[in-house]
Order: sequence, then structure tokens, then C-alpha cells
Amino acid sequence: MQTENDGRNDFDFLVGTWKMRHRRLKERLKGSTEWEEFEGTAVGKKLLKGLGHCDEVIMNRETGPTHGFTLRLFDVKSQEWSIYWAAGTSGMLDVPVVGSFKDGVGEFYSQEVFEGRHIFCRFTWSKITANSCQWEQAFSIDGGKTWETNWMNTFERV
Amino acid sequence: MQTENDGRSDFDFLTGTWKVHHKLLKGRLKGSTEWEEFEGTCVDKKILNGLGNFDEVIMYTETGTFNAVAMRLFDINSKEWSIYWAAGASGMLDVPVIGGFKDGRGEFYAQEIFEGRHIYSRFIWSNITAISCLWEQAFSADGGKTWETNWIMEHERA
Repeated sequence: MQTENDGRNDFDFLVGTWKMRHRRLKERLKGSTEWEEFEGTAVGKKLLKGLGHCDEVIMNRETGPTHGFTLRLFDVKSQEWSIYWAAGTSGMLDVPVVGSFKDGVGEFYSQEVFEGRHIFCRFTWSKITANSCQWEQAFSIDGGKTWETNWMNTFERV
Repeated sequence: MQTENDGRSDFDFLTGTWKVHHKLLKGRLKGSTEWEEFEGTCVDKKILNGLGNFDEVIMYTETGTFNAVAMRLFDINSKEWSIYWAAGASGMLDVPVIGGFKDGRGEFYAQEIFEGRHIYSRFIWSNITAISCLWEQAFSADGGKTWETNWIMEHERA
């Protein structure tokens, strides 16, 4: 097993049990400024001898508990992470966002379909300490020139 | 949560810890008749409040120990299961095989690329009892007219 840090260890910080505080924009790409706030939990573990990670997520939204599952896989050739999100509301798997960490900030991108049109999607992991971190999701409809953050999530270790 | 069985409960039999006897065809789509046999384990748990399940697989082959994961997601609209398999270092999930169960037998299909050409891939789950079940993978290079089984896993509850 390789141990050098080619990026495969960059999600090690997320192993364990977390309390999450979510702020989720009520509408996306419509100029909305109203946010829904809710709490949740995430439990992360390593897979595939460290080349993968998964999270089990429960979000306690106003409409009731929502479940999610994240699978992250490391490509040892490109040294990129692909992050897959499965939503408990539909049983559908999203297109993965793909990227890596630089100077403590992880940025991951995809092109996906939102309400019938193709957009760019970005995940950002930042503010990583031993006991906390932050995740954000943003969409762009102009090829990455401008981004609307539509979901922010602050993690605190339990 | 819906409780009627529209298919979402069809993988409940797999929850738990299994001993697995593998038979792997040494060559694929080459007329091979030589099989490699080895032992392994599989631990399956439900995710997404029952709309999915997740396996951690360990295989003890002659050339070493290999890890893999499988993720199965139920689409509540189409009532189909998508089965994703990830084995190691590519960072990517394979194309899912998609299907469902009928009369105790599950069949799941994909079109994928094998050695540069498009083939059909099929998973079958069968012989399901409380303490055992059988999984098989087959490929077809002729549009589904003929199938070559190239991997068999005999599961026995541990």
C-alpha cells in the first residue's frame, strides 16, 4: 500500500461522526435569498483500503428526516476524487463532481442537468480543522463565470 | 415511508454478513473454460432508509487480497434497481446494471465497454434462501442472443 500523499489521504479528516448545520437556499438559480436551516448527522468511514470513503447522512428537515449517502472514490492515475451523492428521496445517483484539494481547499466540479438545462456544479470543502469543516454547493449557468451558492453545511465533530 | 413491496424490499435478503465462494472465469469472451476459485466475505447493510444497500466485499485470491464495494439504489419512479460496483483504484463507478426481481430471481442489465467494444453485461441473483444465495455475471457480445457466464459467487450466511 502506498502511503505518500498523492491526494488519497485528503478526505481522512472526514472519518468519524459529525453534527451538521445546514443552510439550504429555498430556490435555485431564481435569485432567491431565502434559506432553510436544519441540522443533521453524518458518519464517515474509509473504504477500499483508503481509496474510497462513504458517508451516511441524515438531515432533519422541516418536512421530516431525509437520508443521503455519499461515495467518494480516488483515481490513483489522475489523482482526482469523484464524489457521488445518492438522495434518499428518489433512489437516483447524481453525476459525480470531480476534483482535488489544494492548500487545504477542495474543489470538485461536474456538468449536470438542472430543470432541463445543463449547468456547472461545484462542491467546496474548506475551513478544515481537527474538529470542524465546511462544505458548500454552488451552481453556475454561465460556464463558471458566476456561481450561486445554494447549500452550505458546517460540520462539528461529535 | 412506504411499506408496500413495490420492489424496494427485494434486496432485504442480502442484509448481513456472508461467506462467499468465488468462481472466476480466467478469460472473458475468449472461449476460456478455466476457472479460478477463491474465498471471500461480503457485508451488506441498508442505506437511505431502505431505498438502497451497500456492500463491502473482500476477496482472497492467489495474487492477493482485493476490496470492492457495491451500491444498490432503488428508483421509486421506475421501480428499478441500479447496481453500481467499484473495485479499487480507478476512482470511478462502473456503469450500473439495472433491473429487478420476478418470481424470486433478479436480472440486471447494462451496456458497457469490454476491451474496446460494446457488450451487454448481466447480473443474476437466484437460489435465494434465508441462509444462502447465488450471484452470477455474464457478458454477451451478440446483442443478448448468447451469454457467457464469467463470475459466480455462492453466498452462505456467516
